[in-house]
Amino acid sequence: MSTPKRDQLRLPANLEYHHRLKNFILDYASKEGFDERRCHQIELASDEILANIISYAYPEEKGDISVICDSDQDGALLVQIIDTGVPFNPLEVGEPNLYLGVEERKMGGLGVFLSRKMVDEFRYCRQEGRNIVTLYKKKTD
Amino acid sequence: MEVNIRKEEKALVVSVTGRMDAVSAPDFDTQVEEQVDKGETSLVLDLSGLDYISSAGLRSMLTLAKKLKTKEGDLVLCGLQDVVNEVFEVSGFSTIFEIFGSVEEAMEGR
Repeated sequence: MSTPKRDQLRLPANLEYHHRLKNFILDYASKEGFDERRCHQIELASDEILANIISYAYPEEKGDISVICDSDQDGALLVQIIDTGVPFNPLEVGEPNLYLGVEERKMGGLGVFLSRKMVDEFRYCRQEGRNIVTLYKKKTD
Repeated sequence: MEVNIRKEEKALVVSVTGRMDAVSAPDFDTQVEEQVDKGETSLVLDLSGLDYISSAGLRSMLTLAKKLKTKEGDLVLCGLQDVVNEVFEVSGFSTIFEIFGSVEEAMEGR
């Protein structure tokens, strides 16, 4: 078995880099041997957080997104997605009401909700002016 | 992502292939809005070629459905692949939309 390697990428928080950042995480998970279904879940979980940062983290000045991929001794994946934008705790976003019909259903909160559902653990902390989201995904159940 | 639109007798069939996310969803919005503004109110979304959807894509579909509701039109979906279906299930979208196996099934009874 290959030794798990920490890998990172930092790019401007711009829609044009959304796919590169997401694919960086997806490629890491794939190389670490995650199956297709879990790779998709990791992709979606990352996609939603990246999209949120690109849309909301830097309303005035420009800023970056850093992505750090790592794996623990059990082979589980740890993805950190970091920005230095406005403080935003995704864990405080209310869950969407899943039982409403078309007319009543609201748009907000869906991305964070999906992201949280796709991983085994979803953590957030604000540290030295940075928003740090950590996604944790096991390789097997 | 590619959007193909064809007019059938009972509805407008909109086929979406590829990936629908924050990058591509605005393009979908533009293309379907154009059709709705032209007066199309009965739409079938064929998703059999859709490999990936994020909340941005779901939002586009919900926006479209809301818009059609105000015009007394309707939107039905068909042909969801497993990965797309999982996202619909988790988000509760599988209960807000009428979903069929294929375009043919969606057309039956219209």
